[in-house]
Amino acid sequence: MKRNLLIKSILFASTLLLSVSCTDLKEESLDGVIIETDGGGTVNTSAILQSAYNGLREFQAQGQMFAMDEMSTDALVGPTRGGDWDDGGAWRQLHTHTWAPDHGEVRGAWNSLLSNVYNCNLVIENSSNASEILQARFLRAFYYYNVVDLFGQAPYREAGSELEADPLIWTRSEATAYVISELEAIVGTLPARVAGDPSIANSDAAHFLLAKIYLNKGVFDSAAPEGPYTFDNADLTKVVTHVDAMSNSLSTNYWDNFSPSNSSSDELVFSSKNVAGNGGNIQSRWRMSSHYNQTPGGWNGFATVAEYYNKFNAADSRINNTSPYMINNFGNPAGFQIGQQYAPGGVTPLQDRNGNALSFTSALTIITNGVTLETAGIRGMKYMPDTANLDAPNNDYVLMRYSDALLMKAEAITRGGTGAIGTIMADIAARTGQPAAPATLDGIYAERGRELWWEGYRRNDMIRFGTFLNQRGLKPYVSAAKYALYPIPADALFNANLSQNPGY
Amino acid sequence: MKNSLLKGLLVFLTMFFTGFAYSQTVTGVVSDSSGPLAGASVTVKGTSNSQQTDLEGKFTIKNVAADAVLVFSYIGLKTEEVKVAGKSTINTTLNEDQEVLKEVMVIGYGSVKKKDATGAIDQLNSKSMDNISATSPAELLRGKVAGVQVTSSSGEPGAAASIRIRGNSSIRSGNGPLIVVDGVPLDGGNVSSGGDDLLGRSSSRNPLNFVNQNDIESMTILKDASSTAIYGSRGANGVIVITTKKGKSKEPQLTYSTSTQFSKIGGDFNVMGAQEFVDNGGVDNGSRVYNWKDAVLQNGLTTSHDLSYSKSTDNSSTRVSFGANNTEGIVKNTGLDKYTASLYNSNDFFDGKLKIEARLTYAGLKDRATLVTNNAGFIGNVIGTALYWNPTNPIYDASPDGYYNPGYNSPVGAYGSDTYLNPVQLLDAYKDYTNTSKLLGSINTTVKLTSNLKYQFLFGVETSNSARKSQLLPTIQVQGAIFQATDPVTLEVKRGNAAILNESKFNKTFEHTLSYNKNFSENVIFDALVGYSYYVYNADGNTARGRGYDIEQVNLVDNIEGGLQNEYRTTSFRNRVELQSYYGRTNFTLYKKLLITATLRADGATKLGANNKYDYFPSVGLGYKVVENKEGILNSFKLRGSYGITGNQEFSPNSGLNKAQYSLNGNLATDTNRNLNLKWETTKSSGVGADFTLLKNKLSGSLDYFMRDTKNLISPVPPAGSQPGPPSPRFVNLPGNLINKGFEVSLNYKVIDTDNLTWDISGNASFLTNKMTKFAPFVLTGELNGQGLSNASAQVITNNQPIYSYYMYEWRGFDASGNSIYADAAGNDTDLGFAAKKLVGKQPLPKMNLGFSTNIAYKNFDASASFYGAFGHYLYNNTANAYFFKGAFLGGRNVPASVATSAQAQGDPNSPSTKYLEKGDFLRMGNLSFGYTFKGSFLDKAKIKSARLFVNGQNLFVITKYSGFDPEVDTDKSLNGVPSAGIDYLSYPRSKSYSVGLNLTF
Repeated sequence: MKRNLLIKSILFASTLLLSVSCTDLKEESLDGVIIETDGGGTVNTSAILQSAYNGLREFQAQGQMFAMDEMSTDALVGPTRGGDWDDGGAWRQLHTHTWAPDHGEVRGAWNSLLSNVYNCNLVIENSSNASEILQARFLRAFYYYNVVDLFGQAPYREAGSELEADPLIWTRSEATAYVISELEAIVGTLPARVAGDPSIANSDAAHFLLAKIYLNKGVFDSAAPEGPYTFDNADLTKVVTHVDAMSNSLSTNYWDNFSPSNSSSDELVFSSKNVAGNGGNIQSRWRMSSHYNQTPGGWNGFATVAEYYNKFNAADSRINNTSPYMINNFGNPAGFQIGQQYAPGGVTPLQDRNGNALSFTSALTIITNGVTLETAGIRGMKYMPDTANLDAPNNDYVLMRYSDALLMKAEAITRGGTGAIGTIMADIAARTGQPAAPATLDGIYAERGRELWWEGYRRNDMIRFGTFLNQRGLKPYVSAAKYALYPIPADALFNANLSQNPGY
Repeated sequence: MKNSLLKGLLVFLTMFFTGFAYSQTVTGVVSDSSGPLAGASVTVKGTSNSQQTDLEGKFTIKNVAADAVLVFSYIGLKTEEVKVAGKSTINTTLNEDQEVLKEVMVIGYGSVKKKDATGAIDQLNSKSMDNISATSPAELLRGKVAGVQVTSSSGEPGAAASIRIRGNSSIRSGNGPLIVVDGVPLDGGNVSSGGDDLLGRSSSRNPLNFVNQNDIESMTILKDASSTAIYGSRGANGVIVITTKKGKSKEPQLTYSTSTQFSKIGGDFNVMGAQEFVDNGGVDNGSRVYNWKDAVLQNGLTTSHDLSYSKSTDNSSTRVSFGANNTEGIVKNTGLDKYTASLYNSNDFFDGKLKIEARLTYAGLKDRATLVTNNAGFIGNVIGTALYWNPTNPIYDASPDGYYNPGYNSPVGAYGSDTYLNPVQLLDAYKDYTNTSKLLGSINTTVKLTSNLKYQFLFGVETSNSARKSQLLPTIQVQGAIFQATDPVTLEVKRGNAAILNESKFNKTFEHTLSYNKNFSENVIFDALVGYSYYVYNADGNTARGRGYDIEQVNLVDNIEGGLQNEYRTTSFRNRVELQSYYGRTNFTLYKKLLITATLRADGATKLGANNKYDYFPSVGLGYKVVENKEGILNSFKLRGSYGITGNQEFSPNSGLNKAQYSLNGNLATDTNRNLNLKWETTKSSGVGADFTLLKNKLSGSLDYFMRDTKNLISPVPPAGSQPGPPSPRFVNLPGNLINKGFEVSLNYKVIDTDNLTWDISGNASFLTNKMTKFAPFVLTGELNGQGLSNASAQVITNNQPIYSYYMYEWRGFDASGNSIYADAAGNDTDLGFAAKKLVGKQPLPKMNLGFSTNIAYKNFDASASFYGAFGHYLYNNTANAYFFKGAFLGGRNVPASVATSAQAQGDPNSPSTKYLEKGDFLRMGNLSFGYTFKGSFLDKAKIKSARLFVNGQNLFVITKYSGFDPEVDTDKSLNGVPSAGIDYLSYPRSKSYSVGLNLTF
């Protein structure tokens, strides 16, 4: 009896203790802000929009989107050089079409593109400023265009949905239709391009992106991603219309578009902004390729292959910028570098680290060896290094350029769109010191390869022209059809609504 | 007749007295040094008349003859015999029997007699700790307790040690046990900042560094759910309960201990000497004096001094101690100075109804580190540059000033470059020290409400402040954007980096407990405890970084404002975690045979998702004493069984929130990926065990089998799965189970036990397997670094495999032209282009851990030796992978001779493969000590009660086939927050050491 009483009183005491709660355990964020509208926070949309712009810097590094767009093609290869650049096979896999869903650069691109879509969503859903919303809608369309191009399907969230819910999925053609509808809704209200600063979302950029998507619509809508593709003449005519609506003009010097002060070029349609000392990793555009002993010193990595280099005439100014700025400061031309390399001034020949002449060869294997371990492969320098700041230079990174738009227009007309090519081919060639390419599909394809080298559109072009999977120099076999799309990253399949792309 | 009368009278008197004696009753109190002793047995010698003392140590025994002898005994204490001699009150104090394991074990919220414990519990007392000068008490546990594995991350003084109790129960970080010091649960985080430093990431420090081992009375290891569930959500990895010393002796006691330790490098990587380098075809740059050990290593020296004073009275006890420990590490410019002070005071009031205990522990630590990063690239860290430096390169140039080669007057000199650093210059150019002060204070108030009911309130405060300052001089040129800065006006490129990292913690603990105990009858003994706790953990800190200093400036970090204005950066952070808990425990002892323990804890925490703030953690333990206190071969035998659920809460705060942070220029970026449904990870544990003593109590031991099943695995799911969403991992409860199963045995045998000579041997072994089941993801971890190893990793967590299973290419040798042959997906020979990564069936976690030790004492001499080892696992030698291949040698870097002369082609890449996977088995002599205790009148003259002189050696030898510095290594190579195990990368080498010391008691 007494024991019963005791147990009862202990139970009573425990109940009492359990019912008295000292804290509601609500979590606070002491060094940040909570940005969910249901979580008591408000969203500083102008600051988030800045993040969405900064996301474009991910295009500037040597991996992710750049490597997926260029290294998977005939334009760029990342050979393994002894102890350098093995990196778990990441670079070889891209060039030889042997990548798998665990590829780090593929995962990186997925995260980078889509987390910026999320930033744009935050701005669009929470901002009361029409200009911010317009810019965010443009940026979101640009990021989604890249997802569609690289991965095919695209995940999305409906406005106001819980973050815990798995995102829903658009097929490739649904996503394409969505991006087109977004761009068409805003192209008329986006502001005109600001002279000297093409990094702000503008109507020219929206026209460019619409032209790009209409030109590729036959690819994006194809049931088989690897082709064959059928192009609708109405879409091709829209390419012409949108290019004609642009306000840009070609620069007289090709290299004005890649110099440290390139933001003032009227040819740039849209760029990722860098200012000296603060910007993206555009230094990778020279360091990824240059040898350690060159100036600026590099990481002795990426090269182009002979069959791509041979598409150019060696005197083509687009790959041979021997201006005094280049030779005096760095010793070697911007463009493609082949043969003996020199110290600044262009007189003193350089050696590699093993004491061999630093002379880049066109002969290249995907794993280099022997005396040309460090020197095999033709190197490229697409941007002119900024002497004032080699690590964080002033050059804007070009995302869209008017000569690309003009070539898209010529291609669209050649494929059956309505319009006149006029002097486009001659205008493009005029500043290169080379004869104009014929306005045929083959001629335009070849000219695109030369004009836009290492600018991030080679894969898109090769797929549209049906050459991407073909056998070539360092990929001596025809790739399986699945490689026309990248796999959904293995980690992304935590989203139960996603299914892997066919073949992976 | 007279005779017979006398005889008759005697008979009568005898009868009378005997009769009288039969009716005599003796009462009294039995105590030990810490107070009244419950459960001691009082027996009339030569009879079966026996009683046990009650909870206040009181006994009443009837029918005692006046000339009888009472035997007072209690296991763990020396048995006392007292002649009754007609007395009716006998109070006695039992002294500790040093040769028997102490039986009362401190557990969570109380203590338990070992014979009554239902859980798997081990206790290490100060007397059985190795006499080593450990910078962290974690090292004292090494090899001593079955099922506990202690692995230092490296040989660095104060390096973090991973403590694993019954394996890894989480796939995330947070596999370390909860540490409770005098009732205050410590924050699991690191005391001083690890994290990014100037040339990469350095490993964090051991959170137990602040405790002075000489202040530790005991460390109790709670291994199973029955004993850890009272700590609920923090009990899944086991609990270590540390109890510090109190004042015990009534005589004022002053002790002083000192020791000096000399240490030098243990193992080696065996890179070539200068002549050997040239003989094997290395580029000869003329010099023959370089040796990597002379360049960056030194002889280590540790001196320590400890002073303590204690005194107690019937109702108070005081102890004060001071310690100073100064360590010079075996790598130059490294060391750890540690100063500790502790105070204990307790006072009883109102006839012992109120007891107030106050404790204060302070530690001041000064860490000096050099550049031993755990993610160095091609350029390397201090160890890496020292190993790869061409030994024929002169360290200094020929100029009269003797500049480093390459110095700033010859930036790209003949013997090095900004990617090929001079190791001595790097060592001298880098400075890194951390000052940490830590204070742990608590007040514990106990109120005896009735003789059975007790209320306790514990208030504890734990604070730590650490300031880390590091700098790299502008005179060394290192390639990389972070090592140079351009003056925006003059366009001059400037160098030099400085960083200050401050971190402070302020934690508070409030514990209210109510405990009740009662013997309803000798067959029903009951006690119960209920409690409420509230904990708050605050962390905040800031960093400052400068770049681009004047070439003449040397004290960059102490004059950080000297750098370029546009390169100065500061950051700050703050977070807080609150926990709130309700808990209860009951123990029943039925018929002196059956023991039942049941616990329940409800825990809530701010960190969890809004939808799942609370969870419940129950456990039950059963014990059955089959045999107890018997003479003969089997002296005692107890069976134990337990089942329970515990949790794990080591994950980042703000994981349940969608948080954004501003970065430079007002840019706002999301940095958490909210999960409102996040709940505790839980581990279901079950186990059976037996404790026994055999052979007249000479052999004692226990056996345990356990199974632990962790589910709702909290894991940082990569952001790819929630895109479009924030760019950070989302903490979710993944489906899947992590199963740990194991078997543990520990034995102690007293070979000889006489007054002059004692010898005992003890040993323990544990066998452990773990496996993931029903787990869909394929989570990569074990990041590798070094030349050509970007994006590379070595380990994976996946279904039906042990965690951290090795996943890489299978290497099969070289082909005729020196290129590596690998296995392709079908298992055929192929080249690197078609090599296929696979699970190679090897794991980094040991399958067996072993420890044994022996102690001998003969008169004034004593000696002890201890050994430990780990078996059945493989280590990945990232150092060899990154630095030791033919191309590196032909490119001018030093390598071991076997690599220089191997058949490998110059261009054969050093892809991660089984080539660098090595057996990690080892057996180490942890400690060997000899001591002599002086006795004699000369001590009395000096007022010295006792004096002991000792010499000891640590890590005198290790038996292993591992080719790196040391097989006991665990460089932190976590990837995306998922930890790794068993990877060795340019780690701080381990030392072997000798010490001599003196202990004095006044």
